[in-house]
Amino acid sequence: MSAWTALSLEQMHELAHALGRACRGDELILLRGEMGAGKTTFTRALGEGLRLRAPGEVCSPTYTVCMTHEGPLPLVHLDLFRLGDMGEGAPVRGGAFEALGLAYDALPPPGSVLVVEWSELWEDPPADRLELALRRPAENPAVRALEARATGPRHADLLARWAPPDLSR
Amino acid sequence: MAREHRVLALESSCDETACAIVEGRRVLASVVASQIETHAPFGGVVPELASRAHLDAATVVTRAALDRAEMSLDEIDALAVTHGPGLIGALLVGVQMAKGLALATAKPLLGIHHMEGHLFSTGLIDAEHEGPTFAPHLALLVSGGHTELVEVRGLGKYRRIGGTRDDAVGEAYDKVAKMLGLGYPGGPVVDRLAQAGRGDAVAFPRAMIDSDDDDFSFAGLKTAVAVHLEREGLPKTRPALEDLCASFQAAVVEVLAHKTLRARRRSGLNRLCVVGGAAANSGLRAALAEAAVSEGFDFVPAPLRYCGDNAAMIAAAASARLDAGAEARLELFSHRSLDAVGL
Repeated sequence: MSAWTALSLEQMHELAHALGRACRGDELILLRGEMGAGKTTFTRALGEGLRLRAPGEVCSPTYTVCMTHEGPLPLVHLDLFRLGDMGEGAPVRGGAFEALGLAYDALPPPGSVLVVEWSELWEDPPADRLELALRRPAENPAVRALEARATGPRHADLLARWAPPDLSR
Repeated sequence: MAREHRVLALESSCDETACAIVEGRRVLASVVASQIETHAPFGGVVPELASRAHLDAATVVTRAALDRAEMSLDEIDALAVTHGPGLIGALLVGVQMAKGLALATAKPLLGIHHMEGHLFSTGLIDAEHEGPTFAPHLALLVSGGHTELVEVRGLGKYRRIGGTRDDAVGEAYDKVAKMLGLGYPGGPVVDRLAQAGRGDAVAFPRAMIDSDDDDFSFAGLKTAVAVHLEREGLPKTRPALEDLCASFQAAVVEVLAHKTLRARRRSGLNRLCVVGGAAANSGLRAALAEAAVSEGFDFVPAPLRYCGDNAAMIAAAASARLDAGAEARLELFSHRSLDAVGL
């Protein structure tokens, strides 16, 4: 696990950008964090790191639910907020993904990077994934805390490539 | 002169299932079935249910539109359908139904981009309103999922010059409403409360108001409201709630109006349209209407009943495309991620 307790918004941008550069395709990145924690902002910077064709078009998919952004590694940007009881816990299961045009048994879509906002609402995500928890410390609204945890070997490799020692803490 | 194209259109890209019949820009019937009640017991949208609810509603709204227009399918010249962007499962319901109708009646079928549809909402004509003919303009497109400035130089000549970098306006409203416990979708409730409050009660940030681009950011404002509530707690009195809503609305409207008006001046376009679900916002309409008088341009907001998703605007866009000689086709497909106007 890697953890940062007080990232400035510039540092968070830098980290997200570096994560995008560390991706090689078939990544599953689950974001969690309260409203205003910076999930979309993080994803946008990650999209820049992925060298998407139009990273400027990455914005909150709360209403659109699922957006695909083209690039060398396409970014599939999903938001479960509206699917799961407005962030209050009704679980999202496989059928919802099929209805969004995503093959549930092939997530992330091959060759792409799948980023999921409000991922805590996802009941049964694949075993190997990178979990990122963003938090807005109450005492200082200008910074963010970030915890990163890989739950399987592929994403442990991603975490190692992404977060060299000098970036940690 | 022969009458204008009579088009029946279906729209099922998000939470509304809609069917409308137009003759040119004149609305003969417009029926909208909302899914908000279907999803209410679940709190959020359930994609499997969304497709199913569209399926159930599609035939009903189509029959209702034909009944209201007192017309049979034989009297329609062409069919149209929203083919993107939107939820794939939802879009497919409208697309498949429209294809079925086109095959059964041997009428041409046009796929219309949802955002292009919104651009045609200002020109609709019905018993209460006569919109102006389509002409070059700057469009501010604001809804739950979108906040975009689009230069419209002519039919199909759309250029997105800016948009939100994070949350759409409608989303910021609905999320603030949720933080305040005002229910979903709470945007219209915040607007109503704001009208009775003082906009200068709480100093919220005006993000990107001075940046030289045509982009917006509303996530920081949403966070500022969250931080304010953490510090002060939920408003304890109705006036305090009204002041908070008014202060939030003042921040949103000031940024939207300032950057939209500047973009209009830079574009040299003499008409400004505001369309989409959040175009119903009273504060935004008032600010732009006032500027139209002082700066001397035509301000054309979408009529309130055509701000939200509807099929009349899709039908009107299709009619305009037919006028321009568009080729109708049957091999329509639904787009999953088309997000730029005019693609």
